[in-house]
Amino acid sequence: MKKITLSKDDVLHIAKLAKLNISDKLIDKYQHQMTDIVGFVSELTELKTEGVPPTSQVTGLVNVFRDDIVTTSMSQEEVLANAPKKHHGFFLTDAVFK
Amino acid sequence: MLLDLSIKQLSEGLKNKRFSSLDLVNECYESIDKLNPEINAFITLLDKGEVIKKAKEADKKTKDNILQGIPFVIKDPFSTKGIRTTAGSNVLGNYIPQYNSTVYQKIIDAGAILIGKTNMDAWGHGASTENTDFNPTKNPWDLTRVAGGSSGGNAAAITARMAAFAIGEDTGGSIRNPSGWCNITGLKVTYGRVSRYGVISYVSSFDTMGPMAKNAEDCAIILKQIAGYDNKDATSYNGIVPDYVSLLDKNIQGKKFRPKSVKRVVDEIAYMLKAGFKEINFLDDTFSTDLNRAKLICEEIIRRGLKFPWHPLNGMRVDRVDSELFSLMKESGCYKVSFGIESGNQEILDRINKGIKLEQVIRAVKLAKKEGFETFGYFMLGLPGETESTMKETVRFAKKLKLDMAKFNITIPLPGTEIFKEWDEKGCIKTKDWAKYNFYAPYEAIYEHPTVPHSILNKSYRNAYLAFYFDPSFLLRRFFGGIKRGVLLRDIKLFFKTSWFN
Repeated sequence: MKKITLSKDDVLHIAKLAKLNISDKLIDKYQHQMTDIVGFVSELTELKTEGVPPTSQVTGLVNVFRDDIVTTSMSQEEVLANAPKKHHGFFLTDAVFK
Repeated sequence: MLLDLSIKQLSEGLKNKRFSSLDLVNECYESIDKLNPEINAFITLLDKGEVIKKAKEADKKTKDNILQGIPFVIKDPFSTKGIRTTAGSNVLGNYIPQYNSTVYQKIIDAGAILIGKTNMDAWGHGASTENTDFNPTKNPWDLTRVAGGSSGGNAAAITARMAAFAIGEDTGGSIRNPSGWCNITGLKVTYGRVSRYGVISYVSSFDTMGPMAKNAEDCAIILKQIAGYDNKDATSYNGIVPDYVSLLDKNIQGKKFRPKSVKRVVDEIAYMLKAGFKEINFLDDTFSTDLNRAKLICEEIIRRGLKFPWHPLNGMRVDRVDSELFSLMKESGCYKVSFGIESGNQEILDRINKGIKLEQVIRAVKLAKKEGFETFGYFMLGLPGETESTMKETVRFAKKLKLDMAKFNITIPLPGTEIFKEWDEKGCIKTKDWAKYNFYAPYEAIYEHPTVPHSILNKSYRNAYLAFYFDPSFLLRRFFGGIKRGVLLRDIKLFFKTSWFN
């Protein structure tokens, strides 16, 4: 994997996705910083991994289920305790649709 | 201060009523009042009155758990019912959980006393506890430095004696890093070993919950309490939890032989010579474990033209030498070789699995003398199965070899060795206060020898030196050797300085 470099367009694209307005003079600075950080990741390719199986988990757990039975959880009071706004035992939020 | 003690020591002190839980909690508050304004280890301190009440209650109960009555702190992503939990962020500045995280529940079930919720990088995103919405935590050792993170508040609190232990969270070093930077002990457990239920996550497939305390034993004690399957955490590992505390005395000595490279060794030698050192001695145990490597080192010294006297300080094995090695050693500047011989009785040698034959010893010493080396032999008295007569045999053997010097040491059984295990099982070990196990410490305080009484051992020890060093042939050898090497006057002086008849 050759070292990754970011172009000015890459930086602008990422800024747009993150909804950040950056001034022209900062594009240069960020381009270098981001290239350094992303490029740093490519140092991982220097590791010798022949014979090492890919490992994404160590517990061996797959599809952990429990029986679908209803048990006591929390009281309505407890559940609503941190709600900024409540109404008759419901969470009250701002309307999403008009 | 009391909070310098380990959990084990605190627990014993509480049990024996040398001090109380209230004393410990008061000490925490002393430290907090004095130091926390600058260190800033906490996001939320519990109501002092409530905590003191809990301490007094703990003092009234009988002690049935090692963590009972001991003050602790917990990092702020752990849900604590009724106690503000922020995970270091203002977004949760007013959040009061309605349930306990499993780990917290286990610790308070054990009877430990919570002092407060500690500072952290918000959401765990950080490695220095600077990225917190509640002002950075400073390193108690140097307030101009960070405490590490993201469990910086925990590490600082333990260091500054604001608690005896802490529960932290580690995803990418968040327990290990602050533990290292604040000089305490922290453990990142295997994922799934400790329940994540009720802990505000950072990376759900990486997060682990673990102990932070002053030493490994404390961490083992805490881990035993918090590890285990939790059906409320679908990633919780359902397997046996080892008894960590009883596994603490396992030998950590590995079986891998990892030597420095030939180039590295000779680079260091060259560096030391350049710095002005005149003689360099090798402390490898033993120098020629890898016979080939030893030869290569000598060749490299010769190749680089480094001229200096040296000798392998630790005894060499007599079955790991040959004439080629000796000739290379001589050429590269070596002037003395020592051998680990131990005993002149083959049975005794076999019993300790020394793996050498007396003939090999004779051969090795002969080869060394032929090359012109000063020869030195290390012997042990009081080996397993030894008697007065076997020890006399050892001394006779030493004399027969015509060594230039001999050292006789009384056996000290070291923990982790076969001898120690054998003698411990026989009931011969008198103390396990490791501070008493030193090279030249009085062995009588450490063990009773199974086959030879102390008086005989002491007599044999003294007689060994007298027999070897006052042997006429030795004296002559030493006299003429002294003339040849130009050290006769020094030798005579040392002879009279030695306390032979102690």
